[in-house]
Amino acid sequence: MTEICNEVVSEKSRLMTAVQPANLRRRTLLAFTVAAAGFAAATVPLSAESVPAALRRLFGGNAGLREFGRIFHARQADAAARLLARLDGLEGSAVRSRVDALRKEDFAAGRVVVINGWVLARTEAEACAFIAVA
Amino acid sequence: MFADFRELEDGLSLKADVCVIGAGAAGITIATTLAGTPLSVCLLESGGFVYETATQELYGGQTEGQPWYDAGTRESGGGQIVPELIFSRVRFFGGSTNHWGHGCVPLDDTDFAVRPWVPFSGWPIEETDLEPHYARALALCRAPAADFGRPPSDPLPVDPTKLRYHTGALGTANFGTAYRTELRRADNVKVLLHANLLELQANPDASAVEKATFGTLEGKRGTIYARSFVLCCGGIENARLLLLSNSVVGQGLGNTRDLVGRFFMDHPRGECGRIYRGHLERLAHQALYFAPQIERQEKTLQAFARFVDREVGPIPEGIAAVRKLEAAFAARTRPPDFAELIERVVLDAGDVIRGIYRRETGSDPDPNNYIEFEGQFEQAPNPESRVMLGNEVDRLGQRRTMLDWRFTELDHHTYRCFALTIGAEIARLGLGRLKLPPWLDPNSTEPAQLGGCAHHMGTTRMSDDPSCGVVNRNCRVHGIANLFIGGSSCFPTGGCGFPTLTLVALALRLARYLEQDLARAG
Ligand SMILES: Cc1cc2nc3c(=O)[nH]c(=O)nc-3n(C[C@H](O)[C@H](O)[C@H](O)COP(=O)(O)OP(=O)(O)OC[C@H]3O[C@@H](n4cnc5c(N)ncnc54)[C@H](O)[C@@H]3O)c2cc1C
Repeated sequence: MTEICNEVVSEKSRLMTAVQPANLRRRTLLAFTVAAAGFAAATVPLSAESVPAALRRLFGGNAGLREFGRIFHARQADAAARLLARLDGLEGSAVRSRVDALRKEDFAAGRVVVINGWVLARTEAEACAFIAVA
Repeated sequence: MFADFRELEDGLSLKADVCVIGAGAAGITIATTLAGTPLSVCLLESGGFVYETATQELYGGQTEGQPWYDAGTRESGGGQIVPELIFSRVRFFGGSTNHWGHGCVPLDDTDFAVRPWVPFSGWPIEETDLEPHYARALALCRAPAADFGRPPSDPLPVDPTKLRYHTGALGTANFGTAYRTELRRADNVKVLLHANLLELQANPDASAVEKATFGTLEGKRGTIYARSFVLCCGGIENARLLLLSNSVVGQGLGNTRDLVGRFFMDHPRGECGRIYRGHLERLAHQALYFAPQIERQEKTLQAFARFVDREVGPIPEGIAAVRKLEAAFAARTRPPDFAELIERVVLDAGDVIRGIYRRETGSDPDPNNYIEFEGQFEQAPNPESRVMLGNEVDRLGQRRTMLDWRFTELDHHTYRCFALTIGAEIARLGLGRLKLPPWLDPNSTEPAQLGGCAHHMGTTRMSDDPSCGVVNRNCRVHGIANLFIGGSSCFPTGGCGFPTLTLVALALRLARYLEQDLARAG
């Protein structure tokens, strides 16, 4: 268990180095350190379950989301970190509402990406990238 | 009055003030407008009053470029493969209006303006030049006067900086039947059927057309002398006939700058994606256009979207009844067959419950059940997209058409941009999620999987500058005093809607110009 958590932490640390400013990085890293100590479920803000069930089914279930994520992560290695920076400090249902607000903002601003033909909000793609690398 | 050249003598010689060639939307508009004036008019038409295979076959040709026009790509009845070029236009009295879709929509002021990001854009005339003719053009198309910017009764709250409404009107006129009696009664108009233009023959210095020769498929030949000649044979044939008129000028009449036949455009149209979990009731009947603001910002051409239900297979009775009930309740009415509908819902409860569950949970990414997002686009004017003469000859001994239809990077950029805009807006409004076909993926190098609309434009484009266009602002061929062109071949750009209303307005304007011009000349 600790081994797995350490892996998660090191992956997150790698991702977070891309994110500025420094105090934000410190706080998020703190969250992940807490996660490493065994509180992963409470502190890792996103999972496949954060995506509404209907959408999840449409995009091929959890496996589909992870595939989207891998594709997007390969295109933009800092995708998950970018999203984390915007979710910093949020927990539980607040994460989901924030992601929802962000994806609506993306659609309104035309910030979309195409993965396997699907037109996704950038936030959605970033969330998939997070799920894939988590 | 009407005459059939097959029943007249070989070597017929005619004289008229105005010789109009081609009795489609443009030619019939000009002839009916000049009916009752002091001018004598002769309207030459290739076909008769009904479809004849041998005449239609004269439209056959070779193609390169986009698949829609490729010879042999389309199947007709009986498994026979036929070249599309033949069937994207119709060759008998009434022309392609014998089976057009009746869609009418005017161009708007952005169409006429120069758009710096669209090479070769801009008309030498303005919307105000055509505006006075649109009302009559609508009447000729037998379309109701319409407010074209009017949104539908249930508009979507789309972002107006991205999408806008621009509704069309439906005409009912088939020009061949609608104006037959009027032309029969007109003393000053003679319509000669089965008279195929063979060549417009210029005087020795090619400054004017002296006469036109025409013939039947059976071998009769005739000549007509006129003060003015107006070529109205459609967007492909106008160019072909100028190129074939080459006994005085080797490269064809009006073609000293090698522009005739170039800039061929259609409205590329086709499936641009599938919307899953979509709200058909909200999306059907919505015709959404790119807003000018986003066209400027993203440097695109014009585009519009339609949404088509692609439910495959029979709809269960109970579900059909639920839909009828829902529609009635939305309109706050009680359907007359209310009890019967309820009974059908109850008897088909299994399908109804499954259907409602799927709709409410969105658990139905069934590949057979989607809303098709169909895009229709303006095409970028492109000198490499062109009508030429092929090597094969038709039954009249004339070289057939060779059509090379080509898109530019600007076209592809527009398709992608429009698809992403539609995908984002639909998702933002919670009306479904868009999946693009592989060719529309931003990283794809596949050619666009779009076909044409049989809206042939641009091949004798209008410009005040003879080095940029074949005809001037009055549709007169540059350098030739008495040769005019009617039809959408004169369009420098064609918007993304329908061409016929505008070409009829342009033909009305041309008819008035001819009347005044010939009256001035005495
Ligand atoms: C299936 C289909 C659907 C369409 N739907 C729409 C729509 O919904 N809205 C819209 O705006 N437009 C539509 N169009 C296009 C519309 O039909 C054309 O824009 C319009 O008919 C063009 O008018 P025209 O007079 O320039 O040419 P045409 O109508 O094609 O007429 C040309 C005439 O010239 C004659 N001719 C050709 N060669 C010769 C020759 N050598 N000598 C003598 N006569 C000749 C032909 O027989 C014909 O009668 C559609 C076209 C098709 C095929």
